[in-house]
Amino acid sequence: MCFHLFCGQITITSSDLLSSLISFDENNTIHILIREFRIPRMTMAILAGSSLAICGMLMQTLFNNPLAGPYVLGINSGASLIVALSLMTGVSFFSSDLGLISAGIMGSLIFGTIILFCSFAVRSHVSLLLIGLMISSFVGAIISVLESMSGAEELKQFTFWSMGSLQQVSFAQIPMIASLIIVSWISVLFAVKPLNALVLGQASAKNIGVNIQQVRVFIIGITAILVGIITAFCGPIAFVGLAIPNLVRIIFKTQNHLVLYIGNLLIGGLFLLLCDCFIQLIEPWLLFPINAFTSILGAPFVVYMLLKKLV
Amino acid sequence: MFSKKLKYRFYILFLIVFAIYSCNEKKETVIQISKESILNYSNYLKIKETQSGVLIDISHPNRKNKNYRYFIAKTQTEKTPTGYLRINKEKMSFLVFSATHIGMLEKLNQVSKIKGTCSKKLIHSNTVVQKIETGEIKDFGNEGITSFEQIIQLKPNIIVYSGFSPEFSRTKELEKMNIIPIPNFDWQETHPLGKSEWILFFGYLTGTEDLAKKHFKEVKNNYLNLCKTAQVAKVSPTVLMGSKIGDYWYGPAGNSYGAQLLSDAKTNYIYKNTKGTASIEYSLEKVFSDAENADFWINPGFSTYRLLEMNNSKASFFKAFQTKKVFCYTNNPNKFWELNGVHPDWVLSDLIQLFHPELNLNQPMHFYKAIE
Repeated sequence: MCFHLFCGQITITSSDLLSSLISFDENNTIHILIREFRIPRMTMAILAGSSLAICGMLMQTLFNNPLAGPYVLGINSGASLIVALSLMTGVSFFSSDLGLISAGIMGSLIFGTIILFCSFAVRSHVSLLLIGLMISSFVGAIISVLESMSGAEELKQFTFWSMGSLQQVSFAQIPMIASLIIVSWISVLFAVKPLNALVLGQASAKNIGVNIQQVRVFIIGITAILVGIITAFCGPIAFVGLAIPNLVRIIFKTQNHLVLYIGNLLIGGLFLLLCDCFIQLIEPWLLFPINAFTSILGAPFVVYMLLKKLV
Repeated sequence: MFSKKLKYRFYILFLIVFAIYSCNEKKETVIQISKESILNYSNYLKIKETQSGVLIDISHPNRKNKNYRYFIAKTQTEKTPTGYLRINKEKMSFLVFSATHIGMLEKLNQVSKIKGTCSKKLIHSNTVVQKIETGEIKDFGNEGITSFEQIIQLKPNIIVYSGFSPEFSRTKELEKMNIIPIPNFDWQETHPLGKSEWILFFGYLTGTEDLAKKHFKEVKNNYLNLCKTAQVAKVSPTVLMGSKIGDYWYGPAGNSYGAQLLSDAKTNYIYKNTKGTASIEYSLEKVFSDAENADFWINPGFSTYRLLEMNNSKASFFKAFQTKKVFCYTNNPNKFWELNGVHPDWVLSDLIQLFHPELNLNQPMHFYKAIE
C-alpha cells in the first residue's frame, strides 16, 4: 500500500506523506497531490480489486462454473449500458454520485437477473458463458446506437467514462464509496455457510436446509451492488473477477468460502494495486489504461488455466 | 535445340514486345516542372502551376514516400504526367466527410457541388443543413461506416476524406469508376495558415482558385497583423490546453497547430518546449504539478464546469478552474470545426482577446466563450 503511494512521476518523500496526513495545507502542491491524486487512486485500486474478486467468487459458486465472473457474464456490460443511457439523457441527477451509483447497480441487477434466469434453462457451463458473451455483444451494439444518436457532449462524457479509470474518484467521495462497499463485503460473510453448501450441488444444499432462492437473490443483489459501484466510478475492469478467484482456489486448495473470501479480498486488492503500481512505473515510456493492463495479464492466465486443466 | 524458324519467331516476338513497351513509355509525358509550389505554409500540400495544367501533390504526414498526385489539365488534349492521376474538373461534384471542408467549399460558393457529407449533426452551415433536409445532399453519417453502394449511386467525381486511416475503403474500385478518393491532411498541419492554405486545393478543383487565393491573402494578412498586435502585449499569461481522456492528459505538443496559435497569441504555453507536432500524453499528476497555477485553461472539452468536473474530478484544483478562466469553443463546436480552417485569423483574434483584453482589439468573438 505504502509503495503505491510513492509510485508516480512526481517524487514524494515520507515526510511529505506524513505532513500531508497530519497537517494538510491546501496551497501545497505535494499535499494536494497526495490527498487528491494518490490516496483516492490507491483506495479505489484496493476496493475495486477486492470487490471484483469477491463477485467472481460468488458468481462461480452460484453457477457452479469456474469460468463465471461479472465481466464474462455481461454484468459489467449491463451496468455500462444503464450508465450510458442515464448519462445520455442529460438529466443532472444521473451525473451526480448517487445517480451514477443507482444507474450502475440497476444495470448490474437487471443483467444479473437475466443471467440467473438463463442459468435455470441451460445446464452446460459453456452455454452460460456464451449467453454472457451474447449479452455483452448485444449491449455493445445498443451502446453504439446510443452513441450515434446522442449529442456531442453527452457522447464525449460517456466515451471518457467508458475508458475506465482509477483516478476519477476524489478524496471527498471516498468515505461514501468505501462505506457502501465495506458493508457489502461484510454482508457476504453471512453467506459463507450457504456458499459452502452450494459447492455440494443445489440439491444437496437444499437437503441440508439452505434456502436456495434466498441465496440466489442475495448473491445477485450483492454482486449488483459491488459491480454497479465499481463500474460507475472506475468503468469496466476486465478479468479480475474471473482470474483472481481461480488463482485463490489454486493457492489455498480449498472450497471453504471463508478462506476463499479472505483470499479474494486480499489478493484481489493486492493484484489491482500492483497492476496500478506497474502502470505508474512505466508511465514515462508507455501509457497503459488499467483495463487494458488487467486484460493483458488476465487473459493469458485464464488460457493457461484451461490448458493445464487447473479449473 | 531450337530450329532456325523458331528462333526467328522469338526475335520477331521480342521486337514486337519491345516496340509496344517503347510506345507505352512515349505515351507518358514528362512535364518539366520549373515552378515551385505556390503554397508557403502547408507541410503536406503542394500545388504547382505549369503550362499544361495544375499539379497537386499531397504527402502523407506519417508515411515517408507516400504521396498522392493529381493533375488538372488546362485543356482536354494535355497529356497526364507520369505518376499523376488526372482530375476532370468539368461537372465537378464532391463527397466531403469533414466539416472543415464544407466550410471551405461554402466560402468558395461551391456548396452546389456537394453531393454528400458527414452527419448533419456535425454541420454548422444552414445552407448545407437545408440541402440535407430536402434530400439534395446525402447525409452519410459517420465516415467510418460509409456505404460503398450509396457512393456509387451518387457517383461524385471526388471524395475528400480526412486521412485518419491508411486508405479510403475500396479506393481502387472507386477509381475504376472515375470516383477519386483524395485524402486531406489539413488537420495535421502545424501552422494555422498551413491548414487554411488547403482552401486553394478546393479552389483549383472547382475552378475558383482566384477567389481562394484572394480569400487566403486576406486571412494571411489579418493573421500576421494580429500576431504583430499580440507581440505588443507586456505580459505572457501561462496557458494550459487540452483535457483528460481516460487515465491520461492529452494536449498539443510544442510544435503543433495548437501550440503555434498560443505562441502567436503571445502566451506562455506550459508545454511549449515539448517536441512533436501531434499531442503530448502525460499522467494527470504531472500535468497538475506543471500547470496547477496556469492562468488560463483552454479547450477542456466541455461547456460547463459541472461536466468538466464530472469528467475530471481533479479539475477543481487548477487555479484557472478556481478563478473561472476556462474557455472553450464548445458554445458552438460545429461552427469552430467548420470555420477554424477557413478563418484562423478569427481563432487568433478570439485568443488574443481572451489573453490580452488590455489590447482592446474590439472584434467580435467568433468561437471561444468562458465555460458556464
